[in-house]
Amino acid sequence: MSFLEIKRLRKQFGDVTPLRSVSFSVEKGEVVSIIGPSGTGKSTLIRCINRLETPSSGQILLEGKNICAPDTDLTALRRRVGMVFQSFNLFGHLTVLQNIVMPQMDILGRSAEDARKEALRQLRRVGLDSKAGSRPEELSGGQKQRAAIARALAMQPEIMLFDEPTSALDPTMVSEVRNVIARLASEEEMTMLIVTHEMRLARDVSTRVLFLNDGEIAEDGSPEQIFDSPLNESTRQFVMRVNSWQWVIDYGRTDFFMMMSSLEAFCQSRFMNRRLMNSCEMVVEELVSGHIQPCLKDYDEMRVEFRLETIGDNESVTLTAEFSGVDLDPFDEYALPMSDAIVNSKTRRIPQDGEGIRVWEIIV
Amino acid sequence: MKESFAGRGALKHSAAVDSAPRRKGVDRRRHRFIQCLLRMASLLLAVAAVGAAAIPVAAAPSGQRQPEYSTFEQLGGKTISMLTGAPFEELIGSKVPDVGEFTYYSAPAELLLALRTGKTDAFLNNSAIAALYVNKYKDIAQFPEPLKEAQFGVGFSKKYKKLAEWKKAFAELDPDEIEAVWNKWTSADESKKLPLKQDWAGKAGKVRVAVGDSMQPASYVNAAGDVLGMEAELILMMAKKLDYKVEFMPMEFASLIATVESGKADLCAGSLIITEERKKVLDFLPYHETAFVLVVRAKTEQEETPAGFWESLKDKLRDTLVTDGRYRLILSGLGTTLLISLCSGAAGLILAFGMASLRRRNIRAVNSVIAGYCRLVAGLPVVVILMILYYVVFGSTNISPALVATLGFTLIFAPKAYALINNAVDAVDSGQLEGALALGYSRNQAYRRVILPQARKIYFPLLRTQFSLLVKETSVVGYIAVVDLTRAGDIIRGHTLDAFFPLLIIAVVYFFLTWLMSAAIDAGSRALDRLMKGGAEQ
Amino acid sequence: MVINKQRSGDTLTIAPEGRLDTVTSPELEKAVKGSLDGVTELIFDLAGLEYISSAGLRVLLSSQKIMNGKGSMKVIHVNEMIAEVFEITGFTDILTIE
Repeated sequence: MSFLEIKRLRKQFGDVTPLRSVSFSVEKGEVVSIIGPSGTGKSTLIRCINRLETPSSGQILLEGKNICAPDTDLTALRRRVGMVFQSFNLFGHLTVLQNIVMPQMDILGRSAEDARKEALRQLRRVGLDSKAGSRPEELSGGQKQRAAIARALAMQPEIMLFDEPTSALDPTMVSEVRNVIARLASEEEMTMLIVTHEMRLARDVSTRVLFLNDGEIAEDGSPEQIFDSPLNESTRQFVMRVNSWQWVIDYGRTDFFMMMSSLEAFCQSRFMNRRLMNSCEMVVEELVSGHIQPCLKDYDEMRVEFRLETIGDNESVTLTAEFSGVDLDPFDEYALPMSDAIVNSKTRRIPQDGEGIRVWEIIV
Repeated sequence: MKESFAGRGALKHSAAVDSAPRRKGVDRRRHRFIQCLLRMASLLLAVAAVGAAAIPVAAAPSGQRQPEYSTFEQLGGKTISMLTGAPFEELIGSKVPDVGEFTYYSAPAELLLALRTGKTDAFLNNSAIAALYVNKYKDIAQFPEPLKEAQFGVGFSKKYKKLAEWKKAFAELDPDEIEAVWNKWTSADESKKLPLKQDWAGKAGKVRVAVGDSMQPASYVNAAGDVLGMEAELILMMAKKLDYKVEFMPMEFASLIATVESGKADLCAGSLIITEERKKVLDFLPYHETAFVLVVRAKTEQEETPAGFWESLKDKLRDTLVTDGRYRLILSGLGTTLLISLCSGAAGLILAFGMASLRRRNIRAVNSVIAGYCRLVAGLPVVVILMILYYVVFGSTNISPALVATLGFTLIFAPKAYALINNAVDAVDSGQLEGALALGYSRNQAYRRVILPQARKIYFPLLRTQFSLLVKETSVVGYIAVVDLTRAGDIIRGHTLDAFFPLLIIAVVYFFLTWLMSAAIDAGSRALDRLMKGGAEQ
Repeated sequence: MVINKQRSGDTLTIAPEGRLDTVTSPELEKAVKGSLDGVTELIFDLAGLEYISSAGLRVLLSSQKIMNGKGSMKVIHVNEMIAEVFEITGFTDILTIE
């Protein structure tokens, strides 16, 4: 018998059915990440596990007992299942310490002394013991989420659910939370389910990844399988899209600032180091300002579609340019000397068969 | 007064500066508070000066008095006033060609003030009151032509079957005795106007008599609450003969007839003149001749030397507060106001919280009942609600009016508090509830431990304001025969015949009352905070 | 982009901060052109620069051309990344770098 079994779970809200038929099992100690396109029911799925949502049909068996039955003791269930929210949900009127102490005393009946000891222990674990007396409003986003994790852990749950734990965080704070979650996964025998957009989080931390698409589990496998060699086509497309930056340039669309901002955001989300990021930006900037823009002056029908992809953990970064509406190669025929020099020094050309396409590998 | 308030003032001040920690700048705050108090005191003094100056105390002996208007034609196009509830527009209209406007006041003292300050050009009243006033003030005079001869009468409820008894008892009274009573009460000699005692057995039973509480000289109330006046004395003389115990119910003139009509009293008296209109709803026992007269301003030949400013100020203060122990009336009125406000405030709050927790259960029927109740209360004026409760809902019950007032204000305050609490709870982020539920809190626990404490930060200052408003709203309970702070002022006004000073004193008392209550609520809330934090503290 | 200017006598030191790319170069160009009255020595302090592209290089080039007629120009506090770009584009020969 598996620790947690989801059987043909279905959830319908009016016209929308985010979960059609979801089935999978989780053993004790597994760390399962759930990824998929936005709005596809990932959050709904884990919110069913602690009954913040009630499924329309199907079963959720926790140690063999169906918790979707109408007579389920919800408070008892939720004592066993801890949850960490995207918006932290720390209690605003209490200090961080009180946030962790109060539920222990109210729900688990611990004494004030025991609750306090446990609270401080968890805070130390997430690195926030110096902030015990602070109020939530005084903390940064990353600190708030770590406090929320400590609060959930103090209840000694058997399963931890994470609903987009880093989605509301500034990119600079994502790593502190990711590290806490990673340590949790490795130190404890804690069963964890993590809904996330953060591919790196899913990759680093989980033992298993589920790709939820169209209300069903399209693929279920190890992180290496899902991210590097997905079996399913839709999985592959999703992973690729999340792993690549795309931008179109033509006569009407030449907003430099927007393009560079978007590229920078992508590079940051891929946790590129400064050197690699600079190289990517420089290459794109010089290709556009030194090659494409001069060509556009003469060929206003030209259209170029850029795609920057990273493979693995930024082991290799490829820039692809597909161009149309012009009968020459803008990158050969139009090349301002300085721009050309920079591009050549920072890339290695990957020859292509066929016209209208150019691929470079970015080298540092 | 300054010293005693300094301590509480510091509390209030730091309550006003909500987020600033009290540790810092307490001395500076206390200094600022004393400055503020000084400024207020000088403001009050300035206002008092204006008041004292506005109504010159007539000290000089009279010269020949010339009424401003001496013929009915001269009154054409002018403003004429009378008491609220006195139906004499037709009478006046029949004599005066073209009345400019009729205005109404709730007590004779107000009519007097309005005339002397030029707000009205003439007022109508009975000859007894006219005589009393004209004797006291030299700048007014009786209009030469009386409007109509009339009779004073004691009103009897049509349901009260003992009218014949009383008429017989009246007939047996010695006419000279009656005249002596009349003379005693209309004279200027206050020393003879002593409280009346009921020293007979009263075996025949009890009779409830509604009397005007400031209708000098017919029936009025002194500072201690004793009923005085010629009508009161005559009624007691008859009651003694019939061996009835009289329960006097002092109230506003305007409420007299309604009180008898609704069955809350058997008799009423308060300078009521017998008219055809009134005979339709009451039976009358006439006890003295009188006339309807007009009172107008007068021009005196001699220049008046107004009394010195400080003299008149001292006089007025003495008259308002000290004479007859009138300050006791103010204190007891204050006590009533406080009691009604606190009780209805507390009860209304409990009711509001009850409704708020019912709303959470989302039962359609319950929610529409609550919504209907709130809308009903919001759509009716406070006075109307009180009167409906007193005269209609509890019309036939012998229930204390103060209790009705408390119930009324509870029902009025609850919807306001309910709206504030709901808005505050809704304003608390929904994630807070989810966070609590996910930890294993039940819904009720989650509300109690997480949502309500945060909602409290939002609704509390608003509730405090609403409570101040409640205290001020209670000033209308005089309409259902409760002597609160405002009514106490009215009564004193009837005695001193000076509207300004009693009002000023009452205003000052209300001001400090609401201020102190706010401070007390703040202090109480902080104490509650510390208590509750103790629960969640290490 | 923040451009710090410091004038002492006939020497003008300009220290741009942040990125010098296609978007921000016009700003630098304007700042330079407007401040060269009576300047005989122009110093570019690139300590605060974290990125430079060909657009930025062009501003440096045009500034050098102007100063060639009026006096001298030099570029100081060049970090590794910018040094690399200078080398790739041959600017090490055109500019005086310290």
